[in-house]
Amino acid sequence: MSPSPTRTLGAFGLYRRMAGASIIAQLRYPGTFIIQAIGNFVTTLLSFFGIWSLFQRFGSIAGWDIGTVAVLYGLVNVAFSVAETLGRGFEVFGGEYVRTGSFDRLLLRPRSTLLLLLGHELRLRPIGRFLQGVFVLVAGLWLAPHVQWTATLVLPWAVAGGAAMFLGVLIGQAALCFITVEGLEVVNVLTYGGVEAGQYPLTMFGRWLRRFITFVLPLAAVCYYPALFSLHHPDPLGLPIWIGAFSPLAGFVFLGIMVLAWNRAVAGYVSSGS
Amino acid sequence: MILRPYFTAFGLQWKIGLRYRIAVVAGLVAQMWFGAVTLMAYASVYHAAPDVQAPLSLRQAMTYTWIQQSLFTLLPLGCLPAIGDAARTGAIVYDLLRPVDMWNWWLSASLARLLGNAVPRAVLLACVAGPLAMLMGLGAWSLAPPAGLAAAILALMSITLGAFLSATIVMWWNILTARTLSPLGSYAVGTPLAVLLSGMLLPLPLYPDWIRPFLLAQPFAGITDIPIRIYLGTPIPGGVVTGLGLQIFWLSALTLLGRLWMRQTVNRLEVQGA
Amino acid sequence: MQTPLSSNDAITVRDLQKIYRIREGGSWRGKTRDILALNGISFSIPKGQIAGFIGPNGAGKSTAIKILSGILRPSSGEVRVNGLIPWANRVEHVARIGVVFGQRTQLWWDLSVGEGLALLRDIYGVDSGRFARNRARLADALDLGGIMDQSVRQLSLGQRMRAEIAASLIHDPDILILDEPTIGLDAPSKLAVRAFVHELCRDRGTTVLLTTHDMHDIEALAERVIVIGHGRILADSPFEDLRTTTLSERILELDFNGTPPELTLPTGATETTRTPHSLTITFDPHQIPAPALVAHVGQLPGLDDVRVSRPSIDEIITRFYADHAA
Repeated sequence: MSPSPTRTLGAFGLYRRMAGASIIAQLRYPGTFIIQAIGNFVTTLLSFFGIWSLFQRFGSIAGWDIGTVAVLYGLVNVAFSVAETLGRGFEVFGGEYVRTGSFDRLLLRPRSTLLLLLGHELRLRPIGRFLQGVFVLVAGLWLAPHVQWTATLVLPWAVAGGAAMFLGVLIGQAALCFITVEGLEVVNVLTYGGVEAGQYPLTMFGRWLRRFITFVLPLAAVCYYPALFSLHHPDPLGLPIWIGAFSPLAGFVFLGIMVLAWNRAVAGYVSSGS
Repeated sequence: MILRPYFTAFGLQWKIGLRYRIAVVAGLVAQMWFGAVTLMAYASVYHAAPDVQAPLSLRQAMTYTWIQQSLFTLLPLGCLPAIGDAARTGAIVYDLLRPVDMWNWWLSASLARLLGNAVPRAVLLACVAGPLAMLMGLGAWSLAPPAGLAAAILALMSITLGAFLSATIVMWWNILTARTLSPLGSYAVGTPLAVLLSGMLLPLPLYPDWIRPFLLAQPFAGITDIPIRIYLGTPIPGGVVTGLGLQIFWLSALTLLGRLWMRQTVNRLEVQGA
Repeated sequence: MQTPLSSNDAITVRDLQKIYRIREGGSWRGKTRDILALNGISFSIPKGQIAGFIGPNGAGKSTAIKILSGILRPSSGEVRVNGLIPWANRVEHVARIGVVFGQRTQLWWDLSVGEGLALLRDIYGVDSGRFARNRARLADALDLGGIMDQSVRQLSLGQRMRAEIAASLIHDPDILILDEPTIGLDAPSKLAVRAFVHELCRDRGTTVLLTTHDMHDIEALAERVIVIGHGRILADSPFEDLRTTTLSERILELDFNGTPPELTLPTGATETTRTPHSLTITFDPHQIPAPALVAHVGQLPGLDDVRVSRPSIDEIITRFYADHAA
């Protein structure tokens, strides 16, 4: 009998196995999961109720129709919920890996640290935000006046770009943990603050904030421009409308930069040991 | 002295809140950010609809938002963390066996935790959003001073009641935690309720008119919304007396019912423990 | 003397040095201080040997273990483990070693032992035939049959440690690094772990590097002991040699049914402790052999019982560190 050749499971295959295991673990306490998912759904739905109330009182959101705002809101929330689902390992990295020293344990596995942390948990809880975002997004498309058929292509592409961008933020936050695990609440500015800013049209903000969410965190590229493109809404700030079909790529570029930062941070950890 | 254990419980939680200085600064940055995003959105909405007579002027809406942001940690978002931990580990039984009035014991701890978190943050944010913003030439965006000396004094009384009311609602989350032996339910229920109903998400006066009386009458309005209205001098139906009356009513009602619920819970735990 | 890094050795270390740079005061002030954790250590461990690695806390043990595991890069020096430079080829290197940290779990709290092992199979890319054989063999040797379906959270410390050891061996590593594998275990679990490691080395030729504070682990397992202190190797020899060179002392304990009498002792023997009903005397058998000393005290009035013993290994090691403190 000849020895069977060792077939190493590919990165995707391994991720599927780890994700499956994490789902089994989470469903071991179904009550907790259901309560949290419902809480998540209600919280995010109520926050749209706030925007809707503003619209009711003022007749428009700074001149924008409720359909467009709903599409923006849905896009940013769906994208963030996907990142929350995938990136839990990075979110808890400071508390569960750096502070406890279990990152060493991770380095002892013959796999990429990014892959292992992605596999930390496929979190089910954000399904509340996800469903609610989809719901508002579809309602927005139904209400908005000039929906393009290309929206069916551009919106998923924008969600992918947005999820990549938020995942990049979480990876960056984890990389920061090698320097300090205190005061990480500041990163909320990019995550929850990003969701908050992304749900309003870019024109509503002052110049410094517009620049920040265009060039530092490419939030406008994954939300605002693709939404304008999908709804055939000209950009009051004057950029051509086709920009929105390509701009979600910026989310992936941001993710790439954060991955590089992560690799540098890990190399630094291995050489300094602290 | 008979009150001594409650002062001890208070002192302990107060110190825990003050220990995380970097977290306070990080939280300040995050809250400034959320405040800025919200303010720009409101300004934009108000400017786009100059003819709409809103129940709050733009300046008032901004001041409302700053105070809400600065008092975010005063909201009853979930149970006292120490009680959540005790519930998870089962140590909560020892808490219930202490020869003190359990309600007062947990209430003083909950109140101290809320104040220990909120007071330093509120003072810092008030300085930055008030005088500092004025000096930097951002007067139009800054925290406005109170409507008058009387308003200031009444608002201070009202926020004190608000803090007690919030601690009383935290007591309900604590009891829920003791019953379900998990803190998760209290957060899943408490956070969305507190964020929406306190006016954190959108100032309560800006919601659609048909829902406003209900929003004012529910207990969460007594935590920050009523004190802020008194501070701003915006009319409350029936005047300041209604505001303070509502706070006192909810404080007494929730205390009475809560104590009954607590006694029943303790009895149940004793039966189970035996 | 410089010899080439031999390929017959599982682990070779030469002139290993590690300096930590510590920030002092607040984290934003630029002042730093260097701490020399390893000050040029060299040793090599042949394939199939069980080597004990001991030293007080802060001696540099864990730094050395981290470097050998590939999770820390040294400041200077050469290391080969299985012919690889650990930190340079991390993924390739860690696929061929197994590591057990007694304090930290490598399994998943919310998964069962069996599910955790299956996940490790995928992480290490162990093919299913080999996995099934290893799993069966380890379950048998470590008595895991009853706990395969229990979640790790519910295991006792002893059960968990056995599961940890199985987890670190599921991919047939050539080298097993055990960091405090018996810490906190009860006596039967300790014995089980020791017996297993012994068989592993004998039957499969696995090289084992063991750090521990429990000297009985060392006595039961290690063919060789490397003592490390202040970042240097203080001794590297068979354990029995350490015992004879460091401390040849013997202890004589005398029990009395009344107050022990005053007595004069021959040269080489000294009274160390006195209680209302007993006396302890330490002596050097080269100067005064045990039978002679026993004969000397044998006629004392009220003498009940006489015991001669060797000092415990803990005492030997404590004495050893004290001797090298300077």
